[in-house]
Amino acid sequence: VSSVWVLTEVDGTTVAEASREALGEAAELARPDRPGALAVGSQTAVAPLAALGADGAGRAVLVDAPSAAETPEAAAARAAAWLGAEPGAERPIVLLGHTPWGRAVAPVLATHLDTALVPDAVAARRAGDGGLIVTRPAYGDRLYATVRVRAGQGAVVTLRPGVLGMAATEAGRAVALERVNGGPAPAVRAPRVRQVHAADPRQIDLREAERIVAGGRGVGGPEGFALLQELADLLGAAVGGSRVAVDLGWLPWERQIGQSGRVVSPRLYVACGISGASQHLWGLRGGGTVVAIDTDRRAPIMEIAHLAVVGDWRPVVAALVRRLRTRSMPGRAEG
Amino acid sequence: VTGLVLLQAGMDSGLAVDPRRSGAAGDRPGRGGVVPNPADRAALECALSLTARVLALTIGPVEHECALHLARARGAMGAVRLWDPVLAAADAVAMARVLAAAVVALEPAVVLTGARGLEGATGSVPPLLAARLGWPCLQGVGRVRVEGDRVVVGERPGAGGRREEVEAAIPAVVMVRPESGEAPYVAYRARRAAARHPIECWSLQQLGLDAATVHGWVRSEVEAVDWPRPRPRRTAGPPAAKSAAERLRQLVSGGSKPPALQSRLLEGPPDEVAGQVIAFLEGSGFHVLASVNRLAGTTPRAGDGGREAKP
Repeated sequence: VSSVWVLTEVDGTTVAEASREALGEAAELARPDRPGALAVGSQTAVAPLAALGADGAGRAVLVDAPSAAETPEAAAARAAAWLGAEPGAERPIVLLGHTPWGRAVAPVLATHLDTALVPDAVAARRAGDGGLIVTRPAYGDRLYATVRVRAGQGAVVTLRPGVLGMAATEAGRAVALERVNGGPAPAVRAPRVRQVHAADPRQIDLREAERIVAGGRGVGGPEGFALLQELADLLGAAVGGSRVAVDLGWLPWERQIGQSGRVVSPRLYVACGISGASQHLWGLRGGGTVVAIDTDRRAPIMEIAHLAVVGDWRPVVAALVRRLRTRSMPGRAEG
Repeated sequence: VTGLVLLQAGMDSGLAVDPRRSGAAGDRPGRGGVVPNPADRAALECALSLTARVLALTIGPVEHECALHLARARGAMGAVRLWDPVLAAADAVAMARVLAAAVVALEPAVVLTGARGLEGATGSVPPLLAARLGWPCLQGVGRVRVEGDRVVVGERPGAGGRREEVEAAIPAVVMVRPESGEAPYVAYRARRAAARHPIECWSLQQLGLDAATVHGWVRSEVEAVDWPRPRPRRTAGPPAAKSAAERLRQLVSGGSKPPALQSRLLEGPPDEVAGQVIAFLEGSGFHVLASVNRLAGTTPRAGDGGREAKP
């Protein structure tokens, strides 16, 4: 039976959620064995990779790459070289998340390993003959295709993130990390990011915003939103609001967050004068950090907030603006 | 620079599909529904904006020539259709290897194609082709340009609304986002004229391949196409270390609801609270200063804040 591996995406010291999901699926495929977790990286990847024992990894292998800035394509070549040299007659089954990184890695990996490539899968299981049966959406997600990979062919499967969810973890289960010398950088021709143009938080679509400062009825009017905009500018955030704020004409419709507006998933959400009606919270996804400022300590938003400030939002935000401004630009004139 | 556009034709994904009525799994419902892939259409326009020397290639039976006629009508110099019945069962890996042979024969500097295919719409053939050729692959870009016949540069959306400018040394494969521009209307007269242009038809033998070789490259097969059958999301079971009451509570809540947050409650003088909020943000990994410095150039004038409010 071919071995099952998860090529793990490690960003700094964090393992991508998609990789942990893939590990859950790999555990099903590897039964009665355990899947291996393979990563290409440097020292920073050691601890997060070893912690994958709790997610079901039976082995954890880190192929050393001297530069953290190596391209995904080069990482794929290194991973393929290591997997190809692994003892075992059959080509491996490698799962990874269908993230931008995974999309760049998977084709190179499949080409080097001479295996099948099944992208954007939502489920994978073993066939009776030891092959693989993978389900993936087709025809604009309206139909599902069942793809069969015969035993021994090997496969690289990318799994759509967020579909399968995380498997149960075995807290405290550790796995010894094997470190492998990756050797010199592989000669892989890959694209290079030349420049990144930052988004203007004032123009950005709320759905893409990483930080949002939002206001509701409690903001009191357009002057209140002017103050929120100042805070947002200092935080590098976009301004949004509840339905009430939009209905009252304080914000344009495309700035509305909630069931009848935008569904957002920022990393930071600062809610000012928003009670947090279920219709509003419905539009807040992704598990980012929530800071709420409201006079009502029993408001629903206070329950989901990581930091809840009880009190009038205006003096608090004014103080925040003052502090941030003096910290960031000492010579800048106020006003 | 010679640009080669890979054009796919296939079933119109706007049509209603019933996998049970269209015969065998994955069958196309007949030539009436065959259209050029809209994403490849964007790639064609992109290629024409890059260079005057554009070739079009499609793999498919004769009804797929509609894509090539379109390319000729828009100004492509040449059009090649490659077909062998064995290709009907080819997966992405085999298709990429056949295309690689065709690319070697046509010797383009840049291969352009849509970022999404029709039907399966996995977009996996172009990167596999690039990997097979050992070329770089620019995925999902728009606004492509060539600099000095050596580098191809494209823009793509990044996380958080950012725009990335990515470059690759030529020869390269470029996958163009279908949203990257409106395809212009093709006049009827141009279509009529294009239909009279001959289309070169290649067989595998012309590439030095044969059906058995290609069949040997196939690594996976589509067994069935059907309506989705939902599979329940995996939910983590309650951890064994918790007390029985705690585990019961987690089970009753369906396992889907995260445990209530232990939110920190702050009260007090505004200035003190503001200091604590900033400390909390920095403790949670938000670099408030970094973002300010990054935005310092673009921060609008103070007092301009009400701009977004309705008059």
